[in-house]
Amino acid sequence: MKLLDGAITMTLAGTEVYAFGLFCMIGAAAAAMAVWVLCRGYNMEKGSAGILTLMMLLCGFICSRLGFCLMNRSLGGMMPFSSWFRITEGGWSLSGMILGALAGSRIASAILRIPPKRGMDIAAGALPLMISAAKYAEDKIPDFDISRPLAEGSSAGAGFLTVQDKYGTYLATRRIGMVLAMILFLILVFTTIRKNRKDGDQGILFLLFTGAGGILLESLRYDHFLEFSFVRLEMVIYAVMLIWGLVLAVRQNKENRKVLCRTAIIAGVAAIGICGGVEFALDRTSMSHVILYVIMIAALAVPVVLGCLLLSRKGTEVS
Amino acid sequence: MTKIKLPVRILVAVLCAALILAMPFVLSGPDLTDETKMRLMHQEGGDDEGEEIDFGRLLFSAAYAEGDLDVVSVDEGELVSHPDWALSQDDFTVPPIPNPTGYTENGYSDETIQVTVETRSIDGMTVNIAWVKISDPSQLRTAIAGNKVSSTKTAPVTGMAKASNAVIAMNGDYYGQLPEKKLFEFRMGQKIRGKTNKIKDTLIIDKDGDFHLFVKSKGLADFAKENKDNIANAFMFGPALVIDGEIKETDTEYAYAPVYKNPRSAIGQTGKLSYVMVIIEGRGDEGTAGAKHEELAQIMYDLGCIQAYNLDGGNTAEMVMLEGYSEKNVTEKFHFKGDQAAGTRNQTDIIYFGTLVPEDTWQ
Repeated sequence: MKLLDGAITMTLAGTEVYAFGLFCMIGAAAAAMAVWVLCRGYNMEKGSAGILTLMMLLCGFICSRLGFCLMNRSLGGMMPFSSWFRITEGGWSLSGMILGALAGSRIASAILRIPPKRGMDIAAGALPLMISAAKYAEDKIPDFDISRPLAEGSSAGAGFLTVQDKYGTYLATRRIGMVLAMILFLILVFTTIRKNRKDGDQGILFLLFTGAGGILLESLRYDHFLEFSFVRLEMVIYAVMLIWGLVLAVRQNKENRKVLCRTAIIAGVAAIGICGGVEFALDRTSMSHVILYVIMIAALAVPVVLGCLLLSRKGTEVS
Repeated sequence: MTKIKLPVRILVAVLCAALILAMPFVLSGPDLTDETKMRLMHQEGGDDEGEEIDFGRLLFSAAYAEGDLDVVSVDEGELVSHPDWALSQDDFTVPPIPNPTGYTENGYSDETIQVTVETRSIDGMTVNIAWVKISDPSQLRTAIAGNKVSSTKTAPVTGMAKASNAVIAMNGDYYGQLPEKKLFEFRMGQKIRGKTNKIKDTLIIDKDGDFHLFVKSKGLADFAKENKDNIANAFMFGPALVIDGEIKETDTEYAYAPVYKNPRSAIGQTGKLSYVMVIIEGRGDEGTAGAKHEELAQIMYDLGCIQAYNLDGGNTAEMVMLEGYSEKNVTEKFHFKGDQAAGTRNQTDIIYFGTLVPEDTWQ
């Protein structure tokens, strides 16, 4: 099989394959395993894991490609429609894949006649593995998903989370994303075995952490991927995920904590506004980038913490 | 919960396995490959027809312009032409490093290039000027941050200048950031996009080092067709400021805030193989408020430009002269930043001038 010229390839058992695709395959396989384990944990019917995996894969594929084609402006405008179907030529949106997989879990829930929240919880438990693998796969693409130079010409600070070239040292935001996705996976494993969890908790946590983390990582990266003018379009999708997570957390809250609910939503909207301001300041002012990112992290942490507080509940309540 | 029959379970499992196993053969990368980007850029649409203009106008010396400002002569020493030292204008070949003995108090001089740098206060504006004279057109070069012209990688101007052994460098038009679909952009003979654009002006630098300006693509298509192998670099940012020795009237509808004071950068041709690069400081205190397009055009005209063109301004406007290449301790001899508030930012490309004198001929 002839692979695309210019793509990064590897040889696996004598067969040439795309490096990016290979690690995505490993991530998808790991995620499928996680879905199977979680379905068994929920005592679901045999074959449920297959249906969930298939729907998540199909919708993830479609939405990832669709997201890229709609958001890609590197050609100076919209991708020509005829190119949307040339999937081997590259072009995938991670945020599109995440939304697609969540939509797939919703469709599978309807097919399997299980609560949609449970389907989303299963997807949420598996997706961090796929995200982590996809971020590792990005590591094979030179200059992809890296930050601004940390210091002009600097050779200091080289480590696993940084990369270097002739112009300086950069944060390897793809590797930071990989590490954060694995941490999220561990958080979700921990909350899954918690006794007083309810259907939907994992899905909400996933949306809160992925939304906030995605905003931060998209801000850090400086490779103009899926960018329109100075707006990173995937950041907008992650912002939607954060707000979606907060709305679901408010709806999940049955303990009549109205003040906390309102505060959480306001904090979420404010955090997105602050992030927009920080983005502007990063490009248009000489303010310290470290200080600006501290402000951004603090602003994003507030709605995430409030969202988590909304999920906390007293006593044991097993759904 | 729905019960799922065994054949369905098997079919679903096979489909899942097929989708997962197909990934290494389908997912080539998260972004389009550079080859795909280039192909898609070039296949989209066709060039618009434009009226023919007299692009072959003779270039006059700097004395042609009748401005009020002093025009600095960089002809203190004779430049020597060495055709055998000329660099390719069809790739990003890096010129030799500058000779450390060539640096002067306010510039650099050797037998192939003379650079004089100065800062003037003109009508309350702080104007940083670099006068450049070269012996061969291949010394006027561009560099990009990525490995290919289709790359959108960005890097500091200083970093790109250093990697290019530049004597002096300035920002280009940050083409990786331009959102327009129709652009006409070349770097070192390599076409990035070949479209005309009815709202933007174009600067073409041919392989003789001569500037050709096209207002809103008028005549661009014909010129490009007739000179397709003679285009070294092309920029579509603008506007054109001085055309054939005359100030172009300001188009107040042009992009890039023409009637507001902003940091600006511009490049002009003052004669055969003679150029001037300008950075006007802005967004600062008194004296560094920036310039309007009209003011910039007047300055470029007064500096003796026959052709002059506005490049990206704001915190893209930047000019740097480096020294210390031979000591492997490259430092900034001059560094002018247009934006006094935000400083500089990484960019996709630079314009720079290099020397042609090989290191092994240094005396």
